[in-house]
Amino acid sequence: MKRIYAREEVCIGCRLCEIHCQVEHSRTRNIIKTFKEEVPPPPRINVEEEGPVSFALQCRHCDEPYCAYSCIAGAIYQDEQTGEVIQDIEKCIGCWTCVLTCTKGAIRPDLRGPRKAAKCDLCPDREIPACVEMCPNDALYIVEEEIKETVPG
Amino acid sequence: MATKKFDYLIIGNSAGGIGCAEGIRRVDTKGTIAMVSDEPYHTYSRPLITHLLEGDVDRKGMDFRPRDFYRRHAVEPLLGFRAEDLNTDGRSVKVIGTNGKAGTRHNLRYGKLLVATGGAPFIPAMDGLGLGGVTPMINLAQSLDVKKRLARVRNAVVLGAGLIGTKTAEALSQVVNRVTMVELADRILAPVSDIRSSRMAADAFRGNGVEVILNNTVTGIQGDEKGQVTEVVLRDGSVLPCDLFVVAIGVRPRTDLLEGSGVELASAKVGGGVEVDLNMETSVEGIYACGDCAHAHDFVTGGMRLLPLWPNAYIGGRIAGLNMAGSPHHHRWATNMNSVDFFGFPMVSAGFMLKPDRKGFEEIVRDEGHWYAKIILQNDVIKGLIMAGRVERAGIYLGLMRGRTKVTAFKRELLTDAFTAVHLPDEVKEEIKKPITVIE
Ligand SMILES: Cc1cc2nc3c(=O)[nH]c(=O)nc-3n(C[C@H](O)[C@H](O)[C@H](O)COP(=O)(O)OP(=O)(O)OC[C@H]3O[C@@H](n4cnc5c(N)ncnc54)[C@H](O)[C@@H]3O)c2cc1C
Ligand code: SF4
Ligand code: SF4
Repeated sequence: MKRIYAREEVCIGCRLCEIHCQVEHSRTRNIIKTFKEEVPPPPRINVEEEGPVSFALQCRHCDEPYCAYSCIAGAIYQDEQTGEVIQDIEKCIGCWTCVLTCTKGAIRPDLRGPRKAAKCDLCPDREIPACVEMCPNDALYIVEEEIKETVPG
Repeated sequence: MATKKFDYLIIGNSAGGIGCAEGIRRVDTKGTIAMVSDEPYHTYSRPLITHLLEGDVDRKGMDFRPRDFYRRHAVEPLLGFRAEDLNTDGRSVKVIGTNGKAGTRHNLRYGKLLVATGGAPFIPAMDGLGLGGVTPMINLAQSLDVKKRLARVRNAVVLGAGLIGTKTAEALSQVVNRVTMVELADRILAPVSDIRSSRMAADAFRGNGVEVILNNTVTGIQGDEKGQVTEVVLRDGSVLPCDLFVVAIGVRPRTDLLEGSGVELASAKVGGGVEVDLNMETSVEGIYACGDCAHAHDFVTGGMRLLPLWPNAYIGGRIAGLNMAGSPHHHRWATNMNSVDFFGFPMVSAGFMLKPDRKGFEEIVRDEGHWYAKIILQNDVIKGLIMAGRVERAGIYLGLMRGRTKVTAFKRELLTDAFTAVHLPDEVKEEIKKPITVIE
């Protein structure tokens, strides 16, 4: 499965990954319109920063996804084939249980319309996720990892 | 009466039962599994029954798993069957058809058994409980019944302002003229809030037209000649017109299947419930229990207790399933953790809600008026969390709480905007960058 990792040494904390994540998940997918005409969606990646140290963090697509185990609506599941942790946005009722139980702080409330939780979906419409492609310093990279063997889930 | 034998028998078709089936299938793809529930429905998300009532979730949205779940997991569903007569020596249970299947009986023999029978509503003795329009709100049938009635309802009264009562009141307020919530305590959501956050939540209710009556309770129910509820009488003597009365003052572990079976139950003093170890196994070898009917390890207090919450039921079930299939795991993922949103006012909490009056405890508070956060520390380890009005990144604190991480070095930053994962001790920081690969 695809997993995104960060290189702390070269991240300069510019937060372009957050911006491009917001654009990718906006209604218009246009950077100017996203921030000038729309209510921008929350970034699904967060630049963790303190002084000179920074790195970007988004959903880790855990082998043991507590967000999925906690979801009271059955809206989060692990894809059998890819191992990706997928959220069915239609089913989500915005109860924020996953916001509390993802101990990486990788899920946030999206308050633009009906309450929905938002997390990294690895950009299903793109070859390379927006944050990875747009990082000017190659501080984000994708690794193809083997998934833990799963039986129907 | 036909006898059937299964390697795994699961009683309960909800969070705990489904978690168990999924846990078993992680390890064992061959063993036979049967899942019994006296509810006739495909597995559904119980916490969503109030959303169904309100209409923001439809019947299909109630499905907790896709419709092909049982087939894909090779689980034989026995829905609409009540389990009785547990024989622990002979390893068998009788199941009896309910509703449409009345009269059908099977004798089920099992290798391993999971009891995930959930809870039963606690209803105080009162005249008038049999009137039309008087109901608990803990299952789909009750939600569907109330939904059918809604067109006729002008005044709804909800007794109890815990998790179920508040959710019911919120839902009803979207579809009923007048909704009143009556609570015996001096604040709503008492077990999952402190005074400040409870008041904020109550403001959200009042601001959205729900009347909140505290320090009071319902002592009488009146009906008309057609047997329908018309009003309720409060302890202080006042009378509320009422054509829907929802009793939501609590849920008790449903352990009737285990009475006299030899499986140890906790005393009534602590609320009852099946006693289990960290593997979710009961006092009888081969019989496991989880969810609302059972105890679980609380990672904040370190003790075993009732924690009737969805994530605890699912994860407890999943871990029971792993153990039943021969893969040893402990369940250490539960505490009093709650997450709600009323009328766009979000609130999460975990662990202690009020600072214990003991040495070593302290409180960090941030109050921004429209949002509020509080952390309770014991010797610099997080033991309690409340975030009301804003819940962003609550999970980071829960992770610190669960990992018993000393926050001494960044205590002052904890609730500031500047707090990030970079503040965390190196091992924790490196851990947070990695996917979670173990369940425990
Ligand atoms: C309105 C409402 C809102 C809620 N909201 C939340 C929330 O937001 N967050 C949260 O964490 N929790 C919430 N909860 C609590 C949550 O639903 C429970 O903790 C969870 O459902 C427990 O799962 P369980 O598998 O232990 O049992 P249950 O879901 O109670 O399922 C047990 C099943 O077993 C069946 N059964 C019992 N005995 C027998 C028998 N002898 N034979 C056959 N079948 C039997 C029952 O009929 C039932 O179908 C809410 C509950 C309600 C009612
Ligand atoms: S949202 Fe959090 S818990 Fe869920 S898979 Fe992603 S990182 Fe893991
Ligand atoms: S917010 Fe949505 S995805 Fe998260 S637990 Fe609630 S229903 Fe599930």
